[in-house]
Amino acid sequence: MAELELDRVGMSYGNTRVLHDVSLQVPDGRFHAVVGPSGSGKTSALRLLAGFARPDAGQVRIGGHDVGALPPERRDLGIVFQNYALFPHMDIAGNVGFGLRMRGAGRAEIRRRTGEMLELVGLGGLGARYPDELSGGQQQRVALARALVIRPKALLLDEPLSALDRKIRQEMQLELRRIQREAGVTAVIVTHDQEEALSLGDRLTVLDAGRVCQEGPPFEVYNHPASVFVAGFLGNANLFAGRVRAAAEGRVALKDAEAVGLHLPPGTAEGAAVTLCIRPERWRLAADAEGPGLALAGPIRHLHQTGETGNGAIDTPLGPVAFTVLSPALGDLATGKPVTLHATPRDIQVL
Amino acid sequence: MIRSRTGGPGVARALRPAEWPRLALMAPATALLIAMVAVPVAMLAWFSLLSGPGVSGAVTGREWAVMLDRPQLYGGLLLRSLALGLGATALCILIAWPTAWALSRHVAPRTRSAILALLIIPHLTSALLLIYAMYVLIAPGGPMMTALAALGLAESRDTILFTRWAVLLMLTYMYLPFMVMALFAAIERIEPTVLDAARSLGASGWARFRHIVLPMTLPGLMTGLVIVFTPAAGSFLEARILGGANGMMFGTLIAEQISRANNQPRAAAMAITLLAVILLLLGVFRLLAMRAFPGAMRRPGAHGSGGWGG
Amino acid sequence: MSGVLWRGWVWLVLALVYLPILALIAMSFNASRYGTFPFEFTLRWYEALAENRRLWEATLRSLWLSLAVAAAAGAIGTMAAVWMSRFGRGGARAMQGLLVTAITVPWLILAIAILLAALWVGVGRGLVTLFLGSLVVAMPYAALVVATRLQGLGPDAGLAARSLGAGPVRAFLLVTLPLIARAVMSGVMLAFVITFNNFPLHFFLAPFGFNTLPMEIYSYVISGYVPDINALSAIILGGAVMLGLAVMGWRRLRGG
Repeated sequence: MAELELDRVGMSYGNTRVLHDVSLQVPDGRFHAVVGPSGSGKTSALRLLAGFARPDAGQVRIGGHDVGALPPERRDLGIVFQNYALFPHMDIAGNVGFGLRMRGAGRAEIRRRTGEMLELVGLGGLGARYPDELSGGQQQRVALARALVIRPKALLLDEPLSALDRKIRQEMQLELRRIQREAGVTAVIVTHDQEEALSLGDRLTVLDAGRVCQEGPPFEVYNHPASVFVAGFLGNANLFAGRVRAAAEGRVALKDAEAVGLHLPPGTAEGAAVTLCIRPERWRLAADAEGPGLALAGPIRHLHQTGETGNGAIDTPLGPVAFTVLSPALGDLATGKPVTLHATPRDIQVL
Repeated sequence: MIRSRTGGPGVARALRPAEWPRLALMAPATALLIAMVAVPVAMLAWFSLLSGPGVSGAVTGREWAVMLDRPQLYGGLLLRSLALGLGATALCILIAWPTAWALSRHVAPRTRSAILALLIIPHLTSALLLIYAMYVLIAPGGPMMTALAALGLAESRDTILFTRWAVLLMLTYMYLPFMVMALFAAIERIEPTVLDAARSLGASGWARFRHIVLPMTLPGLMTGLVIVFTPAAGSFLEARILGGANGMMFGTLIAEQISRANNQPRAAAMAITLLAVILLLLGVFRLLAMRAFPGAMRRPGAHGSGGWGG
Repeated sequence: MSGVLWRGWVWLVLALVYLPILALIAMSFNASRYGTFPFEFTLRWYEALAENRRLWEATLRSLWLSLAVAAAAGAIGTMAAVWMSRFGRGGARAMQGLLVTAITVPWLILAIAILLAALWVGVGRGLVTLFLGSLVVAMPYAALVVATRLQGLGPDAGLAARSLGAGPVRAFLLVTLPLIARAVMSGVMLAFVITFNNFPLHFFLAPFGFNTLPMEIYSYVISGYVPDINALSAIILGGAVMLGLAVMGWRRLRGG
């Protein structure tokens, strides 16, 4: 177990710079999510940690030591690949025991530890099967067991759940969390799936175009995105462009509406262009718009229910605005019915 | 590898055609294969028991007695042929393996297909031309010996022509591209992340080869063995043209039973012996491979058989 | 760095494969009757080749034989492949086993087996024996090439056509055949190449007096260095490589 660090690393493929001055610090035993769209450099960051790539600038440290000169086979990291990369010609026990074999462990020890690890991931008794005889979720567990059995200094997960279907993916998210805690291992997961990043990480780093956009606890990053990109990438967001009319009163003019009493970032000047970010679930259905914040009214454009919540949108002069309410509230609503949505200053993020 | 696939039992039944067109489709091929391969090869056993010349003599088993009587000649020649076949196969593997690996992992896809095509094209023309080309190259006073003489490495009149080394060289040359193809197909099926995974688990370069790459290319290697060792051990033309007396092969002697000695039963006996020994050796190799890497050979063709024979 | 070494190895192997061929082509322009040096440029052997009627007649014979065999192999092989993909089930495995076995038996042994069987039947060497023997060697290649394509295709297109009311024959001709046309063509070409070059089969099965091109070449080569054959080999080998490069270049142009 050890802490993982990228210290101001830069990296290029040929003439393309894929990482600029990226730093990442994962304390011992924590689960860190690196999230970004494809091409954001998140996989390159993982390859740097794993040792499959070398940085042009900066340092990669594991447990405080610079590992720049260590090849992947000597870094003692467990890696779970997107396609699992199981060895098709070895049975499950052979796959899981491979790392121990490479470390010269004895037969009995390999059998014992492999068995224990298969129990931990819930695959006890399947050691004699071959990878192509397992379901996607089971293969995923084998990949995890194979990476963990060597008691790695840290676990690196490269889009580990993207090949699974939705239900199994959610189940595996919980499993992943449980296993990581029980093993007490430092873990970094790289994903483009914001939901996965938000639910798995103790902290998360948002990457875009090879740069760190924001870093912090998931709740913090979700509720206080630092940029329009982060707001749009992590979850759904209604974004409204506006101009500051009176900084002291927190008054911002939108195209056809006005928000009052907003918490503007300190030092925001009069006339500055800002973007308001309101998550769909932050809206309240209001009979009439009172109090500070922003109120928008319009007829309901569409509605649909997804289990415990309902999603909808209203037509406003600012364009369609998405909202989410709990299912019981949907009963009073119908397409075409005019409603007013209200968000308090606490619900509005000014970017 | 060929599975019949139908849209589901109901659909299949509704659309199933009458019996006769089905039979008409497979009948010519089946009749041909049985009449021209299965029956003649099986009848070799019968012919080998007759006394020659021709194939209408009495059953005496004389030719087997003659062959068993002179184990030095026939056994020795058989062993030499097998050794030449195995040697050529081994050389092919040694040269083809790094070539296939380099093509798969270190050459851009466009160049790769061009190189593969260039490798195979000359070998799609007559084997005779390639043998003759080798003859011209290594003939005494020819281009290679002249070049070696110019470097002071050999006399220009020296040559390996008409020795078994010329036959070995030729057999390797003849089948190298086919081995490259078989191994390339197998190597292409190894996903790069599988090797990354092995690496992250602590496998060094040699360990990755030994535990991942070798077993995963084993089915391709087996295919290569079938398409290289079988014809190499059963060849006669290479030895006839390049081998001289010193480089004779079992196949050369079989051919001469027909073309010179007019002893058809002995040709049959020798042909059966050669075929049986080749098939036996292939079976042994297969067993060894299965014992060494049970998982890799688990289901022939499931992952990585480069062709039909694997 | 290591990439350079790997690539260097590939080019080295390619160069070694072409060394005998280039040497042969070079020597076809050398005046020496015994293939020795010093090198002296001449086109004499090409002229001699042009006047060698025996070789040209043998080439024509080989062409006719190979065309006939390739056409038959394409037809029979395609039929077998369709049967394997559509109706075969268990039978498909048996058929595949037969096809692979036919390919695996060394040509020398197969040629002798066929010759002896033909003698036993009372036919012996002859055009029919030669044709059928060549056919059984070439047909499996055509069948397996088409079968591989059909396997990749699946039965859906044919079934769709039939659900729209096309009879089995029309469904095959209008839907399946166009989809596998390229594979059939490849199979036919492969059968042609294999038949054209199958010296062992020609040597044992051709009727006396019916010398194919490989047999003619053999009769020259067996006696040693023959400059005319240098010229012929240079044309065939050079032509094959040029043709291959041209096809590749054309495909690349068409593929963008």
